[in-house]
Amino acid sequence: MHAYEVLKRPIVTEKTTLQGEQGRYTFEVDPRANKHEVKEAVEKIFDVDVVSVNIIKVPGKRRRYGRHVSKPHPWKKATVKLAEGQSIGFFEGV
Amino acid sequence: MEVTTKQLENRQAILTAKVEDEWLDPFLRTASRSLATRFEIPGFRKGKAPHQVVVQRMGKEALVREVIDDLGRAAYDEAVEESGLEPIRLEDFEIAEWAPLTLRMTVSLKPIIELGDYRSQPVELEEVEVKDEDAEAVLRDLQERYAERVSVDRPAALGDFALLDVEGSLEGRVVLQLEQQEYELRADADFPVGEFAEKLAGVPVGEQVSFDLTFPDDYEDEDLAGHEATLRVHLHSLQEKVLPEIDDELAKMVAGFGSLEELTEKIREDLYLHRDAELKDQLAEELLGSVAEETQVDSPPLFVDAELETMVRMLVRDLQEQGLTLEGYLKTSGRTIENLLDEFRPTAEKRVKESLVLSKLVEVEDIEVEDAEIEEEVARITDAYGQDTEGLRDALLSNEHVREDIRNRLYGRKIVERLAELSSLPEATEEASVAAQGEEYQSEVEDKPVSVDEAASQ
Repeated sequence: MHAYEVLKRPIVTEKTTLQGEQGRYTFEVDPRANKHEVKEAVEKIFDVDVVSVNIIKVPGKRRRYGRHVSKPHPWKKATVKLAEGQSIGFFEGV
Repeated sequence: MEVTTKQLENRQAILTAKVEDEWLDPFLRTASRSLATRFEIPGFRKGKAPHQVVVQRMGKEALVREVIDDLGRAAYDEAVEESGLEPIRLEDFEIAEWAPLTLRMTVSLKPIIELGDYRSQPVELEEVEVKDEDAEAVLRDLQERYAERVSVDRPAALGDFALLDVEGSLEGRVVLQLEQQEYELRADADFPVGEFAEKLAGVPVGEQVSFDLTFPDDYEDEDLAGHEATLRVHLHSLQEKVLPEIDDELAKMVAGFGSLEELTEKIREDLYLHRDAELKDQLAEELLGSVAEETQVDSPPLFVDAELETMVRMLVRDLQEQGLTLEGYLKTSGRTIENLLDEFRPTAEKRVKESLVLSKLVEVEDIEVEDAEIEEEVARITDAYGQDTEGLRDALLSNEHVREDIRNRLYGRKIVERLAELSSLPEATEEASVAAQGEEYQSEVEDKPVSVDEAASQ
């Protein structure tokens, strides 16, 4: 898998913004990707050193719209820890 | 901040300010904080989103718009400072470009007023005169004003007040019917025609008389004009006017004066002040007019625009008193508001010019009017309305426009006095002084064109 296929988007919330200050960044990743692939992809795209990767599988939920019930959409979330002092600027150029 | 200045004609200028990011940043941060509290941003509770997230989500434009008031004010102040201009008003503010943020501000500048050689205009100030008969005329007016009415039972005479029923008929048709009408029998009365009073003279109280009366051809009621009508008049009662004697008693009644002599003295003094003021006002008006003609004024349009606005407002008020609207007025006279403004414009321009000239004269001649003088003048005006005028005086004094108007009038009088003094100097010294003063004043104009902000408010 190519690096850009592995990382789908950064997760930007209050929680992740706080974690970013400690060098931890969270992404939605391809459900097929494993920790090694995530580490490689982040190192390649952002030119940083990844110390550790935590992966969480987020179960999708069935949603009801009246009579219709939607399919669950499970996804995979990965939080990477960068080497001391490194950071990723999601908002550069703003 | 990079500011470029472009002077327009009409004493306006365009300031273009290119804003650096460092300058802008504090404003954007304030903006994002206030926006974040109002808008939900996914992933964040209200008000918790960091600056970068808000910028990315809302866009820089939204942020700038959020604080445009504060940002504009700060930018204006700084741009004015850097340009070195002294604008009197910001006329227009727009964002010319977003990246880099560039603001375009149109400002009005102080008018430039270059007076002609006004000092060489001879001003002759005559001493006003109050003659004995002038004071007597005022006394006779007072006598009339304090006249009493006394009921009498005798034939009517000119000068009496009568209570009448009148019925007028023309060829058997009733054309006029009045009941219990109070009527002053005066030979010069205009109702219904002069002869009416004369016909009534000699009629005893309680009597009923009838007589024919020819209405003049130009009588306002067309049905009656030129016709001879029969009038039946019932005279209910008569009152005679009794004039008080012109003596100490009257003086006491009029204003609590101790003696007639005091009253006469006061009347003479009032008359003197009034005529003196009138004369000076008139001279000032003439002087302003002629100085204005020789004066070059370069002023921003805001002065004339403000004057036009005032004129239209006055017109609307006058129309309202007659129960009309501006739209209705324009329609019946077949004009548009543009026509009207074009009509008003020359007058407005003249007024503005004269008011600017006045302010310039005041400045060059270093004339001052104290608040106390304004109060004095208002007191003089209200005194003419009799006693207990404090309410009126306070009302006038608390009105900004009235104060301004009176201040300008006092300025005018003082200028007339100053110029009259100059004109009355012996020929040789006069020239010397004019030359000296003129020179000094010329240089002043060159390095410091000055204006009056208050002219805009008039």
